[in-house]
Amino acid sequence: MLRRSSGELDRSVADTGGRDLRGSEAEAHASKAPSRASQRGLDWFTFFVADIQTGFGPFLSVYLTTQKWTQVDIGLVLSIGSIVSLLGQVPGGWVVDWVRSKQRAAALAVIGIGLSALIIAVAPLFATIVAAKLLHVASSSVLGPAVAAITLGLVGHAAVSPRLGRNARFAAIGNGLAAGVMGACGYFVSAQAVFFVTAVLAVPAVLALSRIREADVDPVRADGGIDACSASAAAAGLSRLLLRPPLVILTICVLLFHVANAAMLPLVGSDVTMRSTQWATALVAACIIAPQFVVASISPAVGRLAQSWGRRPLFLIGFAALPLRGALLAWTNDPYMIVAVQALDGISGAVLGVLVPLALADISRGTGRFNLAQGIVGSATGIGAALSTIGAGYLADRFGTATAFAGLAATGVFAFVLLLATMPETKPAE
Amino acid sequence: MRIVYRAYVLRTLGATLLCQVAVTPGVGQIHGDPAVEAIETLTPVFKRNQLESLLGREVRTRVEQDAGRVIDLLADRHGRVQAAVIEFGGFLGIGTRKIAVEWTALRFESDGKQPVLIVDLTRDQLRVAPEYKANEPAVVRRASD
Repeated sequence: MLRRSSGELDRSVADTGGRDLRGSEAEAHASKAPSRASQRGLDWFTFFVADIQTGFGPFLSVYLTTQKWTQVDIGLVLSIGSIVSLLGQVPGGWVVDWVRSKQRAAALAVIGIGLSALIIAVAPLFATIVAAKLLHVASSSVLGPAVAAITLGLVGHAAVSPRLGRNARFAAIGNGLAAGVMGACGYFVSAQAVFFVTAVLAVPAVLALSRIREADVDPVRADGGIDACSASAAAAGLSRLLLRPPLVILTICVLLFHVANAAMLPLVGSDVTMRSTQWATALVAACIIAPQFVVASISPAVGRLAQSWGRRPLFLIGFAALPLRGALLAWTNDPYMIVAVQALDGISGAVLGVLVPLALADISRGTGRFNLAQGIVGSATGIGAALSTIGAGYLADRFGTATAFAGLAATGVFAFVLLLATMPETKPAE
Repeated sequence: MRIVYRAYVLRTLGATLLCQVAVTPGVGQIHGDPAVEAIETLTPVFKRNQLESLLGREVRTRVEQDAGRVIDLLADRHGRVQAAVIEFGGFLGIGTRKIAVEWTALRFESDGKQPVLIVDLTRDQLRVAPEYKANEPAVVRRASD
């Protein structure tokens, strides 16, 4: 899928007259503000991108169960998906740097995800599900960086902070709504219907994307500053990026954050399922959706504050909320209290959602490797999540859920201390 | 069980005969082959609803509605099914629990046309049952007395 898309995109470069135009175009872009239509297009695009990703999580295994799949086959497909996803993040980011039109890369990725959902819904056979999963993973590894690249290309470094806040708001609304609607759809209609809905939602996602004017997105700015296409500049940019200590520090901190974070929600859900008699389903849904409300309400403020306070204080707040949440979850047994504590997830979610791409934009500025940097941190996120599931699963089996929460909280404290001690302020001095 | 059974039927008779009422199969071109005839006597055809598919089947408790789904069966060394693994709870697949329930606690009851798999436990008994783990000794929840 990636190879095909690269070919098409390469042709598009040739169509527009080659790469030598880029410098002058970049100058022209820098002076004018992006159009209102493009801004609106990006709002809705982030909203629908969040929607189409909802069904592919743990829900896939529920669906395959309804299709009489055995646990062994389900486990195998999910493992193939996670391993390829880990391996695909960096190449995905690299592709987004390399292609000229970020919108076209994003459009192909959205179509890939829609197609994947359609295949899953109509042909739940082993070979087709593996193919659909691989298509989804490849598309997602491009789509993630591409959304941030379009954002940076649209508004530029100076204005990217509030715009990322706005993105996070629309993504959170999308996540929350999609979780509610698709959860209800799976419960009242069928698990299969969820994937049909996902496939259909790819259409408005592409339409929203087409509202973003090609001319408003500067491809050079979207890569973080220089032209990643020319070989010498790319080599220089790559070594310069990889040698930057803040990138290494941020990658390690994000990895540790996700080691502490990823297993918390599943553990919360299974704890609520065990403790609550009547409202288990609704309470687990609340644990998933409540943080999205928080993210939607505070993200724009996070984006603005990142400009005035700088990145570091906000990072510290987001990283501090995580161990606090773990400690409270270890301490409380009451299902309603658990839902309240989950709101803290929204604080971390908003901070990470806005600040990670923002700090990466800061760090990769002038290297032309913004999206590769996103891929690197994306891999760290995946590795962290995998370790989290293994570690917390072990602790929960041996010592109980409270100990597992405490272990996750302790890892979160470690991530916080590391961030406090080593992470520099990345906001450029104006 | 049914999957193995079905495979035999498909191989010898074709899918159309699976759900039909006790037809004596295989008259015609395959007549006279002793191996085929031997298999035919070993593959009786059951009426629709006499045998039910289990994997992925929704389970209900007697009082409340949906209690989960059968995701696996556990058999002893003689091949006798001893327990069914049921997955329940959670939302969008997040926070589900798996428990093993004694096989005799499950049965099909008819609610009009569709047979429904009923578990002889309350929702409360299900939710506090110990979690089933694939690679550890299974803890099986017995039916309430």
